[in-house]
Order: sequence, then structure tokens, then C-alpha cells
Amino acid sequence: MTQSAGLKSFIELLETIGDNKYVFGDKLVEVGVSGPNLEATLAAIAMAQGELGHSRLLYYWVFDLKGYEGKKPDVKGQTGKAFRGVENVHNWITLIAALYTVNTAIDLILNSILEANRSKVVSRVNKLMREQKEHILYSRGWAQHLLEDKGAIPRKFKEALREITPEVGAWLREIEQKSELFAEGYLAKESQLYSKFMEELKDVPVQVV
Amino acid sequence: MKKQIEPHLKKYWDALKEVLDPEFPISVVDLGLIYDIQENRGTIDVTMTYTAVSCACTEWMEADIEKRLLLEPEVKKVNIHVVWDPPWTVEMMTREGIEKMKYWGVSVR
Repeated sequence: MTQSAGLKSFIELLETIGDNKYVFGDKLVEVGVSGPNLEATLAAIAMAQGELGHSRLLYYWVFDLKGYEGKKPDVKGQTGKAFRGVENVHNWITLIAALYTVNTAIDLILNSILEANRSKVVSRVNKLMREQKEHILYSRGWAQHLLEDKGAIPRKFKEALREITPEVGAWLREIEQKSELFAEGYLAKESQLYSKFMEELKDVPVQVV
Repeated sequence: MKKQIEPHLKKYWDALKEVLDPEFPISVVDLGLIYDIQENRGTIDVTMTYTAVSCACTEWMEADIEKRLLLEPEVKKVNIHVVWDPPWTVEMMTREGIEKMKYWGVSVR
């Protein structure tokens, strides 16, 4: 099956999202199991299952785009496109910073995909986006909580945000440079992903870049 | 959610009332997971969803659905199409499903 430039880039985009969610699935368990309180731990474990489910849906979408028919192959690992900042999550602070920024960016991209081709993709992503909104709300709430905490925590959280945000922002800018994604109708024109992302981050008032 | 079921397809809806969610003793029909059933020359096309994208029992449930429908003598093949729109909510459940949930002490509001 010959892939157009747009389709190749779109597959890479979906795999990047899927990979980050796949790694979040692990990190939410590894780190979340020792969350700051019982409620946080339970939420993290529940979100872990959610993120893994989202990655499965995205990988299956990629299989369809690549022309697989019938039963989908087992997903045994990510494709290597997860962000360094997500792979490096090692405590609650870095987990919240990564979950908030990466899922916020993913939400903007999925909205752009939906806007470009609603009738074809709505049945794939509608439920995922609803569930993801809850993950973003939860991590944003924790982000604000960490910024208002005492001692070294606000400083450490700001450092974590400053660490991950440029990587996520660079990814969005890279996507904006891929004209084939817009020309072939995979993303909506005038999506302004990067500027919208920075606008969204204003909810957590830290100078991150 | 109230569905208009064509008379010739009712037997398949009834058959799937025997397929239970693996985590809860409620049928996939009463949970509102089945959106549509069509039949064409022995091939059944089931359009369905799950309560969450992350449902860990998808393969299990799809296998159960296929297995049950294949028990009908005229059914030769079952195609299952999973969709996520409209997204599942508790409003999709049947009255019977809601009553069962209440019986088990689960909130469905």
C-alpha cells in the first residue's frame, strides 16, 4: 500500500500520541502507586488504565491506516516516539507536569483532527477525548495545588514544567511545519497549535519558556 | 436508550441478552453497548461500543457475542464494529439494566 506524505506524517503523529499514552500508562502505575494520598493513588491507577486504552485505540487506528485487516496484532511496546520528558517521569511532580502538558497538547491535536474530518474520525476519538478531558482537569488541579504548596515543592514543580514544556512546544511547532498534514486534510488549517497550547498553559501561571 | 428493533432482528437482540458483561451480571444489551444489529444472508453485523476506551474485556466480550450469535443455525459469520460515537453513558442502559444496577447498589445517575 503506497502511503502519501500526509498519511505517513499522520501515522507518525498518531504513533507519537499513542507512545506517550502508552508510557503514561506505566508511569501512572509506577509513580501513582505511591501518590501523595489515597485519592491521588486511586485516580492515578484508574487513569493508567485509561491512558493504556487510549494508546490501544490509536495503535489500532494506525493498523487500519496501514491496511491491516481482521484481528489486530498485539501491541507489545511503544514505537519509540514517546517524549524524553515522559519517559523520564520519576515522581509525582514530574508526572503531573508531563500529564498536564502532554495531554493538553494532544487534546489540541485531536480537536484539529476532528475539525478537519469530523464525520470520518468522530467515531474513533469522541469517547477518548471525553475521558482525556478528565485526565487534563485532574492534572491541572494538581498542578495548581503543587504551585500553592509549601517548601520546595512549588519550585520543583516549576522546574518540571520548564523541563517538559519546550519539548512539547517544539513537537507542536514541528507539526505546524508539516504542510502535507494540512494540505491532505488530516489537520484543520489555521489550527495554531503552539499558540493555543501556550494560551492553555496560562491556567497554570508559570513562565515556562 | 429506546431502540426501534425490526421484527426479524429481534431474535439476535434476544440472543445477546444472554451475553453478560464479564465484570457485572448484566447483559451487553441491557448495558446499552449494542447500537445496531443487521443481518444479510447469514452474516450478522453488530455495531457496538464499550463503557470506556480502556475496557480490559473487549476481546472477551466480542468472542462471547460472536459465539452466541453463531449458535443461531442460519448465522455463518459475525462482524463486530466497535464505535465510540455516540459515546456510552448510563442513559444508554435499558430500564432493566438500570434496575439491576440499583439492585447491586451501583449509582446510575
